[in-house]
Amino acid sequence: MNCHACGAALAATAKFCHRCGAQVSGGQAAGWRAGLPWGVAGAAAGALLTVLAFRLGGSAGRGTGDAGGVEDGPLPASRIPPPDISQMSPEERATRLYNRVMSLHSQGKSDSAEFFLPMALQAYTMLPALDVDARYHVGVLDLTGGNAAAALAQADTIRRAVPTHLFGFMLRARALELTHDTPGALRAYRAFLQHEAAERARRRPEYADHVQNLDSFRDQAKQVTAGKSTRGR
Amino acid sequence: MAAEPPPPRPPLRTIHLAHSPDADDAFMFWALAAGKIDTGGRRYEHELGDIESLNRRALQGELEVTAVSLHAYAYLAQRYALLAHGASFGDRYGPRIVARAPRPADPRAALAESAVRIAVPGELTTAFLGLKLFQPAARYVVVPFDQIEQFVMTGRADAGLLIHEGQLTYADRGLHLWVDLGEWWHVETGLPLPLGGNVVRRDLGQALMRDIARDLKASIQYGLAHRAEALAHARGYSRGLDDAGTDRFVGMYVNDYTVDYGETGRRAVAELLARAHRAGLIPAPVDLTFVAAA
Repeated sequence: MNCHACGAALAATAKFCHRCGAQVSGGQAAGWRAGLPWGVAGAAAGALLTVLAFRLGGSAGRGTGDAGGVEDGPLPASRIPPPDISQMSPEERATRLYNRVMSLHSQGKSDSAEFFLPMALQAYTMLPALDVDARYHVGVLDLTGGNAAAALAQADTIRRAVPTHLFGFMLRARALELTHDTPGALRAYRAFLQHEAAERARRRPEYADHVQNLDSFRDQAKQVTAGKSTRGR
Repeated sequence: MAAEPPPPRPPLRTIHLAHSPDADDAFMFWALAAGKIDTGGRRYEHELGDIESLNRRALQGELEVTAVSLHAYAYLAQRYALLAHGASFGDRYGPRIVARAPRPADPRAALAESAVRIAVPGELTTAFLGLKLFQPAARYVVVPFDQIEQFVMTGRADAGLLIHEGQLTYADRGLHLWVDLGEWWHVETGLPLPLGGNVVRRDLGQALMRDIARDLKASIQYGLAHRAEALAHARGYSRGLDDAGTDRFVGMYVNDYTVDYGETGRRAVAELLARAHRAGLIPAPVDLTFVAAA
């Protein structure tokens, strides 16, 4: 079975697409994002910048304009039917844990996020292959845990596979900011802007999954490279 | 009066067996692949793949018998048992960290510098685990194992973590040895460094697992007893090594520990995984189960 929205391969019992959040069965959803809790994927993407803003001590609001994603955040736990983990593919399990960590972090529940972080990283370790999107998720998780070196490793590995992939520049910029390497981060922001139009024209599926995050990053990259750093505001 | 017909022979059981396309594995599995030993009712279908791919396929339980990194086994122990035969150990040698620049006075400190980036063959390889035990702060980029030397030579990484035949050829390419992780491990522990092993899926059952162990051990022993023939086969997988180099490489990684881990080999595996757990590099202690030929 494949997702009608993005084409991802799905388990026969899947109710929502692990990649894009589209509802697979039931039919009452109005749009692809209606499929909560997998809609948390959107929140997760948006949560990244929030998380990093916390970590970097900058403004959480500026450059994190993913309010839509956050608004689509998880329902209260009592309203979410527990998923049947045994029926999930490894990719679904990893994505679910990623979303959970990101959501918890965006809600300021750092203890809970920290609890699930190793599980999420292990879930990605267990994947049959780490594609660019999975490595991006791992890198974001690394950043969430404050591990800039590990995030840089994912950025570099993405760049080796696809030299102009935007996720590589994004992870790189964030990781270098975390290590206070301002010139290095600036170079990564500039590289992102240099390649953004051509890359997004390629319509890679992972870009569609993280469109709000890409837009927010672009806005911030423009500000940073124009000498209008948002930090400290 | 007509004689009774012989009882029907049980159907052949096909076992999918995967290993990496390198000289030591080719040597070990040659007798099995070439039909040199009696495998009873078992027919082996060989499949070749680089070790990181095999590690990840094993995570999905795809393969009945496969070579894996012992690092990866930390994530596989529930589904697979270790076969007591076919392991690769480096006894005072092992994966090597090489670089364009000459060896610094303190390689461990140099590897902690954020400006130094190391090309590694995969995050589940034992070589990578060894690197993280040696220097947890090492910065890395994942590169297919057979491209690492080129990656370093062309300046895309400062150093490379070499497995397989690259361990013997780096100097020809003008690269410098910084650290031999097998040598370091021996200084640390007094033990050989376990790198790779063969695993068998537990759902095959005890009897079949033991039969497979027996076939594998017989294949290794046959190769050792017919070394010239086995080496001739292995040369096809030695990626740039000449005959002498292939002989040397096979001698390094097909040794007494390969025939059977023995007490020392088992202790080395336990020590490696225990240290990895203590360092937070694997999520849980590993319950080691070895299946040996009866």
